[in-house]
Amino acid sequence: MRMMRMVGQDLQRRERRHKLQIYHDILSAIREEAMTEDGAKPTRIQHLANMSYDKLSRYLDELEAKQMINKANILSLTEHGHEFLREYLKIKELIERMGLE
Amino acid sequence: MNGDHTDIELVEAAPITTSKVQLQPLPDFDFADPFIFSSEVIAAVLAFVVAFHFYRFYRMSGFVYLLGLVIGFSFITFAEVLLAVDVWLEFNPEIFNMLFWMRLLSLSYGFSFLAVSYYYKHREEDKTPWMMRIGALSVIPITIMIALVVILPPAFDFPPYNQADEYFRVFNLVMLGYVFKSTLSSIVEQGRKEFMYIPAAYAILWLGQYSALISSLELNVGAVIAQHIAKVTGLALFVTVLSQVMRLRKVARTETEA
Repeated sequence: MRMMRMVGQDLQRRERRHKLQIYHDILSAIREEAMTEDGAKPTRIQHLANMSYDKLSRYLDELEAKQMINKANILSLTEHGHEFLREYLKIKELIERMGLE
Repeated sequence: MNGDHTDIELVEAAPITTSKVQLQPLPDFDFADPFIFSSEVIAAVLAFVVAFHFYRFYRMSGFVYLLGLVIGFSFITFAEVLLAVDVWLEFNPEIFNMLFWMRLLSLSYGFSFLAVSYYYKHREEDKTPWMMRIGALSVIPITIMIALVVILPPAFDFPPYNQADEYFRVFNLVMLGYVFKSTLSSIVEQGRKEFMYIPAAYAILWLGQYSALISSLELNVGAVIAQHIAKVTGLALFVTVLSQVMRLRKVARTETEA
C-alpha cells in the first residue's frame, strides 16, 4: 500500500514537473502558429505540443482560465500569455529554488 | 519612545496583570526598545518586499500556490508592523491586549498559510477550488489553537501572556518545520545544492521562533537578540534569492538581445 502511494506520488510529481514546461510548449506553439496564414488551430497545436487532444483541451481550458489565451476557432495569446513566455525562465527558477517543484 | 511608561518597565518587578493579560516586560538592557523596534521595522519591510515579489510571480504564472505564499508573507508583514507599533507605543496596556492577540494570530496564520501552500503545491489541478481548500485548511489549525489557548484552559477567559505566547510559538515551530522539510526534500530531489538558501532561510526563521519560545519561557537577553537577528536574517535570505532570480531574467534577456 505504502509502495503504491509512493509510486502514485512519483507519477504526480513527474506530471507536475512538466506542467510549467507544458504551459510553455503550448504557448510557444500558439505564438509560432499565430504568425502563419492559417493561424493557431487546436489540431496543429496538439501536434506541435505533442500531446493527446483530451490533455490539450484540459490545458487550453486552464490557460484560458488564467487569461493567457483567447479560445475561439483560432487560438491566440493574450498580453498575459506573452508575459508568461517572456518571464518563463524566471518563473521556472523561482519555483525550483522555492522547493515548489 | 520617551513617554511615561513607568508601570510597564518591570525588569525587577513581577509582570503587570491587566484585566486580561500579563504584560511581558522588556529585557533588562538599555537598547531593548530601539533594538526591537528597528528590527521589527526592518523585518516588516523585508517581509513586504518578499510578499510583493511573490505577488508579481503569481500574476505572471497564474499558479495559485504562489498566491498562498503572498498571503502568508503578508500576514507576517502585518504581525511585524503590529509589534513595531506596540513597541512604539511602549506596550501601552490599553491597546496591548488587542495588538497582542492580533500579532499572535497574524504571525501564526502567516506560517500556517505557508505550510498549507507547500502541502497543496502540487494539487492545483484538483476540481475543488484551490483557494477554498487552502483557506479552509489554514483556518483549521488556527481555530484549534484559539480553542486550546483561549476557550478551554481558563474557562472562557484569556490565558496569561506567557502561556498563550508559548502555545503559538510551538505551533509556529511545527508549521515552519513542515515547510523546511518540504523545501529541503524538494531541493535534495533536484540535486542542486546551490538552491539551499531557501531551506536555510526557513531554518533560520524556525530558530527565530525557537528563540522567541525560550525568551518567553525565561526572560533571556540572548534569546531576545537571537530571535530578532534570526528573523531579519531569514527574511533577508528570501530577498537575496528573489534578487538573484530577477538578475537571471536580465542576464537571459541580455543574451537574447546579443
